[in-house]
Amino acid sequence: MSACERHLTDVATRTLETLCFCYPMPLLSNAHRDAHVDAAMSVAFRGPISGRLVVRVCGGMLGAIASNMLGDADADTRMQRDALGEVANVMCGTVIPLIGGSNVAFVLGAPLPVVVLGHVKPHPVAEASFGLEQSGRVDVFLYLEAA
Amino acid sequence: MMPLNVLVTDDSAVMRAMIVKTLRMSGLHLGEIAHASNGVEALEVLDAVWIDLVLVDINMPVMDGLELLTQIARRPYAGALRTIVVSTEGSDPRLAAVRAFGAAFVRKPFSPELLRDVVLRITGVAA
Repeated sequence: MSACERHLTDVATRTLETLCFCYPMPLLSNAHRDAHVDAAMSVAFRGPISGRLVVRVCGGMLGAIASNMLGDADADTRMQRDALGEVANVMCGTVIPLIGGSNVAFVLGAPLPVVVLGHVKPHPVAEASFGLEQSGRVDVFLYLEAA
Repeated sequence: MMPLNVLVTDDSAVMRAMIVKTLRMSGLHLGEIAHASNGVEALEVLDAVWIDLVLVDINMPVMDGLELLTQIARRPYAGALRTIVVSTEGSDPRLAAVRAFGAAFVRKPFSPELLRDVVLRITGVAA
C-alpha cells in the first residue's frame, strides 16, 4: 500500500467512524462487492497539488449514513446528498494536507454530485473500499491532476 | 445564569445541523441559535443581535472564516465574543492565524464529546 493509499484509508476510516457513526470493514464480502450504487459526490481541490476526491455509497446505506449524521431518520433526498457531500468535504480537507504538505494552503470546492452513478473515472492515485453492515459499501477515490 | 446565544457559521447545512445537535446535547443553557452560511451572513447576525458564542468554518464561499475573524476583531463586541473554529483545515499558516485571533480550534471530523468539551471549556460553563 502506498503512503497516499494509507493516508486515504486512515482518513476515510476515521471520518466514517466519527462523522457517520459507522463501522467500516476493510475486508469485503461478495454481498459488499455486488452492492448497487446509491450516490456519489466529488470535491475538487486546488493548491500545490490539484485534483478531486470522490466518495461513492452503495447498498442502500446513504439514508442510514445521513440519519446517523443528522439524528433524523427522515432526512430527505437533498439532505442525504448534502450529508454525503459533507463526508467528501471532510475526507478531502483532511487528507490533502497529509499528501501535499501542511505548510501550504489548499482551496476546496463545493461538493458536487457525480451525475453518472457507478461510473467514476479510472486510474485514481489512491482508492479505498469498506464494507458497511451486511451488504453496504463505501468507495473513496483520489485523483490528482498532472502538474 | 443567562442562556447562551449561539451563531453557527458553516456553508454546509448538514454540518450546521450536526453542530446544533451536539450543542443541544451538551447540557448548556442555550438561548437563540442562529445560522449563517458564510462570513457576510454571520456579520449581519453579529451586528444585529447579541451573540455569546460563534462557531466558524474556515472554507466558505463569499467570505471565509479567517476574513470573518478579521472583521469580528474590529467590532466593539469582539472582546465579549467567544469563538470556536470548526474546520478540516490542516494548513499550518492558517492554523497559526486562527490561534492569533485567540479562537479555539476543533478539527473535523469531530466527536460530539470533543466539541462539547471545547464548548464547555471556552464558555466556562460546567455541564
